[in-house]
Amino acid sequence: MWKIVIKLIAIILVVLLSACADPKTLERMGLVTTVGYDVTEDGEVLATMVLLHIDPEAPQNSAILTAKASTSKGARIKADLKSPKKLQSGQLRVALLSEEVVKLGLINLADTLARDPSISDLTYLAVVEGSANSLINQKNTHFTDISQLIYKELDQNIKGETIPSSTLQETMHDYYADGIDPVLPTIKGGNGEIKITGMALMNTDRMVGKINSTEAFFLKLINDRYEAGSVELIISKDGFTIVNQAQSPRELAVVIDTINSKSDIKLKSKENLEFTLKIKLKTRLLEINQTLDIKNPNNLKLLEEKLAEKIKTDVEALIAKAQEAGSDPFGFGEVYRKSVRKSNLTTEKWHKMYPESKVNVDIDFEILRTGVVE
Amino acid sequence: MFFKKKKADSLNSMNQENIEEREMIPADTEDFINEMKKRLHNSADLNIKDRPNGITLIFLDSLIDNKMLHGDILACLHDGKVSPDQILKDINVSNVAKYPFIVEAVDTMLKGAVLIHTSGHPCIVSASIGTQEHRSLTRPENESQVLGPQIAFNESLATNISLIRRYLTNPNVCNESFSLGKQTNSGVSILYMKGIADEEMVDRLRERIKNIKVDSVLDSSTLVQLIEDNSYAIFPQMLMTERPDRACSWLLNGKMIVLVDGSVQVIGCPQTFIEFFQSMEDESVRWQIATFLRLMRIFSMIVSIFFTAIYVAALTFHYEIIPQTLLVPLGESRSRVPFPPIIEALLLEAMIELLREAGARLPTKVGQTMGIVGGIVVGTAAVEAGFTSNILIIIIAVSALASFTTPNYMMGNVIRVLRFPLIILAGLWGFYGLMIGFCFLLIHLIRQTSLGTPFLAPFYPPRFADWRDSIIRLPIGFTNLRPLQARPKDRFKYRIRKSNKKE
Amino acid sequence: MKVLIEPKPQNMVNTFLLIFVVHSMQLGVGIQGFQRIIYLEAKHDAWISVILSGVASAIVGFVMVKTLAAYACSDLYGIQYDVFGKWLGNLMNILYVLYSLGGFHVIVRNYIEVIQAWVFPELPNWLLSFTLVFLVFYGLNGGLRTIVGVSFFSVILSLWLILLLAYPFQFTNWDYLFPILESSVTEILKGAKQMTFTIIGFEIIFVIYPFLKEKDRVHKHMQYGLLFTTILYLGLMVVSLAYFSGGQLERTIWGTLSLFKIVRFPFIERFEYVAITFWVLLILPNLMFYLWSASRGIARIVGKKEKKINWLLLAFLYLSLLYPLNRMEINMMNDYFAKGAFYIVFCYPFLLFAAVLIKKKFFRKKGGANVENSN
Repeated sequence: MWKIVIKLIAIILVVLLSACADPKTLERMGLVTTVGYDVTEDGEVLATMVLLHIDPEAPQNSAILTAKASTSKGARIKADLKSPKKLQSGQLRVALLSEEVVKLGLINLADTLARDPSISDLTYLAVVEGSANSLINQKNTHFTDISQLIYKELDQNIKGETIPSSTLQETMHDYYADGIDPVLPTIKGGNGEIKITGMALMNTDRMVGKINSTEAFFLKLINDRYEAGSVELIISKDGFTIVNQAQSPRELAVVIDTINSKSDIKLKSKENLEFTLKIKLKTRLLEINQTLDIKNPNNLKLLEEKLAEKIKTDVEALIAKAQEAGSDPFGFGEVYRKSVRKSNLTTEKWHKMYPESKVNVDIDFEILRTGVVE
Repeated sequence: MFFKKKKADSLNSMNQENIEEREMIPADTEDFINEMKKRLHNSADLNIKDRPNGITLIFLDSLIDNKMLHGDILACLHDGKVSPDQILKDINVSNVAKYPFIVEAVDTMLKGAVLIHTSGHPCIVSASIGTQEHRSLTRPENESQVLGPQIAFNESLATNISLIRRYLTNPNVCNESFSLGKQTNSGVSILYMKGIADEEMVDRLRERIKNIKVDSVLDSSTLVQLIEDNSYAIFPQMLMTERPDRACSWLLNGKMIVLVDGSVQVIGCPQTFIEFFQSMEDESVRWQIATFLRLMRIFSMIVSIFFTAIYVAALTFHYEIIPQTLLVPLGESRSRVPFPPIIEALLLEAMIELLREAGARLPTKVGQTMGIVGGIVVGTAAVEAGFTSNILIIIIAVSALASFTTPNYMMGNVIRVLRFPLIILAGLWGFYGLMIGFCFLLIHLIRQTSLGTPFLAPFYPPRFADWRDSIIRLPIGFTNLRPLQARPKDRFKYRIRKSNKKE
Repeated sequence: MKVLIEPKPQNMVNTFLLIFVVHSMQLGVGIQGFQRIIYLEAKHDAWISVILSGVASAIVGFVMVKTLAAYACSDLYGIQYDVFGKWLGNLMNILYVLYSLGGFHVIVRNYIEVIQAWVFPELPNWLLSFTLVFLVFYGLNGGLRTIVGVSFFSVILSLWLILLLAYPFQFTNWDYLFPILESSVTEILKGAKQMTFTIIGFEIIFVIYPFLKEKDRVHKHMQYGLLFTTILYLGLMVVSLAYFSGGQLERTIWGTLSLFKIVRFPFIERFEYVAITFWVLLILPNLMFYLWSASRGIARIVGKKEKKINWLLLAFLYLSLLYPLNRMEINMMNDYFAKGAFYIVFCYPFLLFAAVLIKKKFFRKKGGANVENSN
């Protein structure tokens, strides 16, 4: 009996050992950390991949591969032919899409990314002004690895709440939601730097407009609760008592830092499609470009009022701009869907209704602190 | 001795043999001497001393105390005609007895007695004057600790029992002794506290010890494998200690201990898995510190078993889970290594085991040098040569270190060995293999029992009251209950209300 | 067959552990992706469906315990034999055995599907099912106490996974739960029915009942276990509804696993890889209990020892698992199994309860012959 059992165990062991899973040993994999998609003139996808090069003796710790095919996965298969290591996208951090690609619609590419279980949901998506290929290939002296630069720059600014977050999960979420459109940051390369220029406004998955970084701040202000963002606002200096008025510029530039903010969108009237947007903002004053006597409570009060007014006009302008472009990154549609029973809202329906909607903005602005010295 | 005569028979039936061997002692001196010589095969240290008045003394030189022989026996024997009963009275030794059978006579002689034969009487008087050859009591080496008593058991059964009796001045400490091993006839004692220990458990243990049919019991560590519930299991199910205080704390919790003559370690049972990770020192330090230490031991056990395997799994199959900050250092250190991670890990683990094994067998001073040479020189050289990655060296060193935090040597060994199958499983099927290994270990542990009681108590079956002194230790007032593990008859060590008056 | 059984005292388990048994039996592969199925029916009111199904399970649990309590110490097999007679009773017993085996099969299939879709696309079926069958065999050999132990540890050791919901929690938007009750009652009820596959498992009480020590506390602990499961499912459903947008949820096959995708620790990212492999521990009690109840059923019918039957059943199941199925076929199998389970777990107990009541009354009228002793 025992002998049979032992023989059986031996056979089973041998068989099991032969059934080893396909290894994906770290150093033998070409880890794609950034991928850029362009569209060529003949309508094909041009994929540019940055590989993490982990050979300590290599002069650069990244390598760039380019391949062209009809689909993004096809491009990867072609790129595999050029690579000494098997390409794997499990460490993908950023996917860059050129403006042209996004104007045609990004969902095919985004869906491919989301479908692949090895790709993280926390991958950042961004729109490149110009070509993604040339952005990735540009010379830069500061960073040896361009993908690190792009990733850290996006990550820092999203974590620092300068721009809204645009991970794959959030983009897919907004795309499949009926009453909200995704937004993606736009970046631009040149002079060895990469700059976040603002956000791309989308109508479902097509890029329809652009906003700058200050507007991105307001977008984020409307969308979610802020904790750390800061912004520079320019207001007219009428009514302030300023010490040496003569040499100073006509406008007053104020930098404020949000301590916390809360935005609340309510549907005021179902028939007229009228929304009320209430933003509560608690801030601290970081800098004013002129010597303003902020000990004077009147001055501070005036400053608060003027800043509130400024934010209000800016927010209204932003909403108008988005409406004109036909993109709803604020989620007014979601508010409508939530407030109206049996609305049966679909993306198409909302995009038809949205430009006609009216938004009343109400800002509650407060400066809590002005620094540690009076 | 008598086994040699009837080897075949003795194997078949012990009972029959006992009856046959009950041979009476010959009344005639000459016959008696011959019989004894025959039985001991003319051993060189067999000393036969004839006295003029028909008294013969037989003893083994090597076993007896000469001073006592002269002062307490020879000086007391009168010259006139004497009977065994008279001798019994005369001799100044406390441990004297009269035996009618040869077997008994030989037995006592082998344990250090002088046999006094008077011609014409079919019996002998035996007087125990054996020397107790043993080392003096030393500090515990394997379970050394800063606080608490600094004394360890030694190889003498009598001394060990006396140590325990010294701690527990209590008539309820019961001592049952057996002799085990056909060849060795080693003395084995079961100690337990009457009124606390569960009688059924004592019966069970007694039965197990009685039913052992082996050649020899040289040490308690072999006995423990014979009386354990499952000798196929990888985990030991009974705990051994060399600290008398620990043995006493077991007794007080209603457990039983088994002492074996000639071995330093005593066996305690029933035990639970978690007790292998406790140390007596936990009782001496503050409860916060004890809790921290215990949690750390459990944590380090987990680290020690799984750390290397996780490394192998992650690098072989799941590169996705490596955070970006770790990716470059890991990749760089791996890029020069020619082997796949599993081979690399097994090689290094084997090297560490070699070092450990070599260090353990060498004298302390040489051992230290070994450690330095092995650890630093070989380790650095291996990395320099591109043989292994330096991150793996760190991981393996940490897990080796972690395996030393287990207070019990036996359990430490288990943890050492368990790493290997898990590394192989991780190398075959990544996290899935690791999880299969983990589940197997879990089921294995759940299946084990210690003297019929669940091994994973108090976690499974859950006995929440006993959690107070398990993986954590609550302040001393909370640990006034005896753990249910040994089914103590008296659950309370003391009542808190009565004892807590600290005015 | 004897209607009443007298388990040996060393096989009895503490009634308190029933909480863990029930909970771990309910938790299995269904939880990995129930959000989508319910959402397709009940839209964003899916959480109401979850509550309804929880209530239904509580009611059925009550009926089950009442049925069992009508006998001193018997299980489903004995009761069916007693109520329906030798032939029909044994037929029902065989049906239940088949249902248990089906449960085993479906769980292994689904889990292998997950492993192959997410982690190891190339690991063969035969290997994955072999490892699971091996673990089940090893556990079953330890007897009931071991199986209950596994289910206990499976619950305790996976509690920390709940804490990880804090990560998706940061990305939730509660607007997605409103307006409440937009779906019609039928849609919500349909959603609740779709919960069947996820919430079943507590029917194990039918088989484990004789082995519980304190019979009067069985019902209480059963309800605790069911409540715990319902709360967990509800929490998971609410978080999923708020985390995913509607269209996204419709496309996410394994919602719960996708929730883990954004968990990120400083030392480990992509937590779903750990979670998926950790799921072995969560499905082990399911597999063990399903097989145990099947082999107990057969052992009761034919009167043999369970250990031999375990061998045979596992070999049979292993061979059946080797048959290749694609995603569509697995889905179909799930649907059939869920339908069958709906009738067996949610409808049949009422019938059985009624039958037991009638039988009891009938016998009392006839002359007070006690049912427990008459067989």
